Amino acid sequence: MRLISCYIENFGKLSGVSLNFEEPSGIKVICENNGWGKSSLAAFIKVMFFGFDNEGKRNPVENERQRYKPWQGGAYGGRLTFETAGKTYIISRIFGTKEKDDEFRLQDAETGLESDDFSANIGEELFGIDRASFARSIYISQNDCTTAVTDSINARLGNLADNTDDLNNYETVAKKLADGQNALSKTRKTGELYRLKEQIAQLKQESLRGEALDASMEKYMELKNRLHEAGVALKEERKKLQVKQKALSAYKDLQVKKKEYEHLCEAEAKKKEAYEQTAAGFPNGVPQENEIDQYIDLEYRIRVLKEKLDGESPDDGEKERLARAERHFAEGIPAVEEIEAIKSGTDEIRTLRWDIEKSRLTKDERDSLDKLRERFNEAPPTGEEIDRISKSLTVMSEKKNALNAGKTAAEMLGLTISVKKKEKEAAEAAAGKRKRGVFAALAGLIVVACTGLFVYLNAVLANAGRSALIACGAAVDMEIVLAVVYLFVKHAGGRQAEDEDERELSENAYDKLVKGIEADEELINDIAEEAKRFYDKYGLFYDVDNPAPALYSLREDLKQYDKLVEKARNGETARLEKKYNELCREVGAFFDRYGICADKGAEAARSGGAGDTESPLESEDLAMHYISLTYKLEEEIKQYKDLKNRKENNEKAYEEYRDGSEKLQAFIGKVGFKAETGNMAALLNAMKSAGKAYLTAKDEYEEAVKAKTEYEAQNREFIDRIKNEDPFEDDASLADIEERLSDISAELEKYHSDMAAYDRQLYELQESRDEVTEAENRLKDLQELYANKDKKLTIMQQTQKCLEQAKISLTAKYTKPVKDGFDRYFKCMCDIEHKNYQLDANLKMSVIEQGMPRDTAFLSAGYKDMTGICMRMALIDAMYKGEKPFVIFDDPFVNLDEEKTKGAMEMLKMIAGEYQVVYFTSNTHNLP
Amino acid sequence: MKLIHCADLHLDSSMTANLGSDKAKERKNELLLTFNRMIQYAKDANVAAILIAGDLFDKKKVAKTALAAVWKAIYENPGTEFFYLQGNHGVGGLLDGVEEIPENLKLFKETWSSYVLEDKAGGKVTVSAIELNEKNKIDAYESLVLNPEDFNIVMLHGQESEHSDKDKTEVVNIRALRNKGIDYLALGHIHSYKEERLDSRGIYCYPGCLEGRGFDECGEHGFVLLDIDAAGRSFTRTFVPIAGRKVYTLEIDVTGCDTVMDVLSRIETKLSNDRYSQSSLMKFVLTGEVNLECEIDISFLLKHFEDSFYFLKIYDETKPHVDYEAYALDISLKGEFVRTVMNDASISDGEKADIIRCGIRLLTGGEA
Repeated sequence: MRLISCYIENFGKLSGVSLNFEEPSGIKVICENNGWGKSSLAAFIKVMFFGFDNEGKRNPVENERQRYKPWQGGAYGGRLTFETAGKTYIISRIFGTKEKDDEFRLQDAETGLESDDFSANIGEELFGIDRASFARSIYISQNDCTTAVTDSINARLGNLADNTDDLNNYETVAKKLADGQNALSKTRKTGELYRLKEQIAQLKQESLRGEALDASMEKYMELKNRLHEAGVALKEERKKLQVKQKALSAYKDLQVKKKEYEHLCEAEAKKKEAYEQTAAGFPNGVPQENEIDQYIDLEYRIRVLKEKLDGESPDDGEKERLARAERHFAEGIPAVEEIEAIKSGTDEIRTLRWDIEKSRLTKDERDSLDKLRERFNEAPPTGEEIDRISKSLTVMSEKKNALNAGKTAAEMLGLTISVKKKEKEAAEAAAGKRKRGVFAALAGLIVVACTGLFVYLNAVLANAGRSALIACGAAVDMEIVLAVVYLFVKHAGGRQAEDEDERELSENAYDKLVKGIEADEELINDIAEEAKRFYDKYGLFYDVDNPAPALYSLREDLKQYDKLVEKARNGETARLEKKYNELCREVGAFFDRYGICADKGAEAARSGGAGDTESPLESEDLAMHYISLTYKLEEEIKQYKDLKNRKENNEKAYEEYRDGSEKLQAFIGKVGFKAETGNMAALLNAMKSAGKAYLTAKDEYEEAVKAKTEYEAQNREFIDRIKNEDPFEDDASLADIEERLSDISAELEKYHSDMAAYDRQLYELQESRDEVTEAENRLKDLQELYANKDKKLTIMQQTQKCLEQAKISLTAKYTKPVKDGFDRYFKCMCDIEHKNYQLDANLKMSVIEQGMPRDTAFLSAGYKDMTGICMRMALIDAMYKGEKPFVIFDDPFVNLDEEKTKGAMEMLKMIAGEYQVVYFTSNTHNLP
Repeated sequence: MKLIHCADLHLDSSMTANLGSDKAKERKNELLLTFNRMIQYAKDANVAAILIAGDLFDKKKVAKTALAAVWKAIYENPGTEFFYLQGNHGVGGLLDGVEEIPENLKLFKETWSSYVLEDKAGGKVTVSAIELNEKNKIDAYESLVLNPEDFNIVMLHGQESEHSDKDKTEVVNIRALRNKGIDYLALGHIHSYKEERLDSRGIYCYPGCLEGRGFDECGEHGFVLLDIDAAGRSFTRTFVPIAGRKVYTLEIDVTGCDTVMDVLSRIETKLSNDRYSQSSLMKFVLTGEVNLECEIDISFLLKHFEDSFYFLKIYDETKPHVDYEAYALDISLKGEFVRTVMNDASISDGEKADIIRCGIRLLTGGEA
């Protein structure tokens, strides 16, 4: 197999690089300066076959996809043309950011068509090794020349590369076996068998409790059985005692019942005797109680009738009164209506009597009328005349009262005028020397005048409305008043009334006042004369100072006169008297009819005695007399009725008394009851009591019979036993049995308590035993599991051992060819044959130094690289027997000295005959 | 006259051998429910008596629920006689604290006791039994005397044997019981149904337990219904399956399977051939030789079938098929490995197959 060419689109710093790998010498030397991209190109070739390594690494130096990402951007990838098995192919890969984004294409270079001879995993398919093994064999990179035999290399060495599930899985299997054994380990604490062993030990310990628990349970069961037996014995004894107690109790009950029955029999006999005794008192049968009660009532009735007949028979007086009444009322007693009519007539007589009396003038009245007629001389004054005189007298009285004040005022006014005159004269003489003193005197006069004037006017004005005359006088007076007031004001103002007009005014007022007073005095005299004449006419005394009361007396006399005149003129009296006499006759006749003779009054009435001479009191007595007669008649009627009724009742009572006595005697005779008493009532009551006693005795006897019968019915089973009772043949008393039963109950209580305690113990033990059983089951399961796991561990251990042996045995078969190859390449590079390198069955190279095999890692860098390169080439020789692959040397000789470098160049030339060599270097001096 | 013969009910059993605590409790309750179903069956079939030939309970101290269930059955069926032989597990359980034993509960002692049941035709069925113990286990048989005119049932609890065993109490000497006039020997102790002829007159029978509790009690479980013509001294017997769940151990040959899916197909084929209820408790035992590289992932198979059954466990007892001749000249690690194992005399043949399977499985990318 060989590389033909490649085109790098972009890969690391390489971009648009085309390269032809074919060289006639078989060695393609790519000698460029540092930084050209030689390692990138070598990596490109590897990636084109195997894809990127360390994709999961974060470090971009380790992560190849990151590391070779085009620096300049653009499409990431390229093409590689190679030839194998006589066919040429072109691999095209475009890389994305992730593996899944990668594009892979394989073309047949001759046809240009896509080929499916290889997949994207073309590296493993083509070389028969994985990427790591490729890096450990065919791809020899700078600073990583050493190698280690991988499963893949081993498989390739054993020609087992195509058998994917074999030697190439050895390490995985070994790891799984180691992990599996660790997981199952008996000694590691995390080991499953270790843990199981611990659990089993615990469960075994737990299980050991089983026997102890069983023994305990057995012991408790035994104790319980013993207790149970004791309990059974106690219960048996109790049962027997209860039977005995029941029998004894039944015997006692029977005794009680016997007593009860005997008591009932005895009671029945007693009651029967009592019943028969009471029945003997009634030889002809016992009457009903109500029948006896009827005769007791009858006896009482007879007794009452007897007493009544004895106490209520009329005496002689009553008989005489009855006889007389019968005579009076031989024609029958008057009806109630008649008596009521007589009563009404009597009342009317009385009323008429008073009406007559009222219609007549009395003697005083007649005397009074005569006197008044004489006084008034058939011409009595009228009311209007009396009123007019009365009013005039009032005016006169008022005028008199005012006249005194007027006179005083006139005197003061006259004095004032006189003073004025003198003042004028003095003024004219002394030019006002005493002006002030005169004024003061004048002022006092004016004040007095005014006062008097006001009193006068007041009196005048008070009567202003009484007559026109007075009204005119008042007008005059007002003029006077104004004049007086004017004067007063004038002087009160401090001004001196010195002029003539003023003086004239005063004088006029004075004149007018004097004239008024004179007129009033004249009027008073006129009235007094007229009034005196009137008084004289009607015989009245005229009191000059107070004439009015006489007029009141006159008015009263006038009223009396009018009244008496009117009464004297009335004619009703005769009519009333006529009616009065008629009624008196009717009433008197009524009383005569019933033998009640009216006395003197009645005679008077009948003879028309209501004359003028009869006094009203007498007439009143007559009316009262008739009323009395009416009551007397009614009383007589009543007495008559009473006496008559009594007579009739007595007759009836006697008949009843006689009949009842006969009945009673007959009843007593019929019953035949005998009692030592003559008293009929006592006899009957004794009979009643005896009857009751009989009934009670009978009831009680029947009750006793019934009680006995019912008892016999209810206790039928006992009756025979009572009658044929056997004595109880056990001397144990009920108290003894009860005492023993009580003891047994206490013992059984303890028994139950102990049983419950045992039960609790047993339940607890059983629970523990169940736990142990569960532990035993679990132990069984775990032991089974442990055995399985242990077996599995053994199998795994054996498997591991056998696999190791098999591997060693298998790899030992190609150790020698590899060692020979190594020796050949080592001699080529060093030009000497080594003696101290050895290869074990695991193809691990070691160096014998100081008699001990040592790891090649302890060698110098140059030897280490050289050993690694030789080993790689030896492995490649052994791995690829047929078609040889290309070998990439990415400047691996940098650590070699010059001589060994030359040897390396020689080696390249040597292998170039078999392998296509691609050699990357920056050393232009050491080229093959 | 109809009688039920049952035994080894083991009520109140912990049931924790295979099951987790929840399912163990559930199964414990199911035992009681199965017992109740048997009682209901007896009621419906007008059964005159139920013979319990030992091991009614599983423990010395019985839980109250189990006791209550049994007492309820006895008290609520006064017309049914319960002949109760306690056996080696039922000692002291039922009668704890009982003041008075009901009339329809017949117990047995360390000496022979007999009870007579009379049918409508006047025929007599005599039920005789003895509680075997250390003292009477040898001599008990000689003291058994039966009236040959009756239909004789003898009830015992123990392992059948042709002779008595001085070391074991739980042995029923079948030979000693022959020609004693027994028509039906009602036994208990063996948990699976078994019937054998006793002698020319009678048979003996183990009804097995009512409900399988583990994979050592597979198959149908129930009781025996006896229909007896006492006067004619003849009877028929019928095994009545009554277990709520069945326990199966299926041996499945997966020879030739290359992958776990092949094994799965084999199991499915097996299951489709014989229908198994979803309520069953199953154990698959995979047998045969499978391809050396065949990896049987038990967890995968368990997951696949986990909803198909109440409980499932799978045992892989397969052996790898190794074509030793094919590896004889094989130049590869595998070939070298097989040859190494086969030539190692220190390894047993059984282990060799397992080692080869382990190595090959690992080399081919599988797990150990």
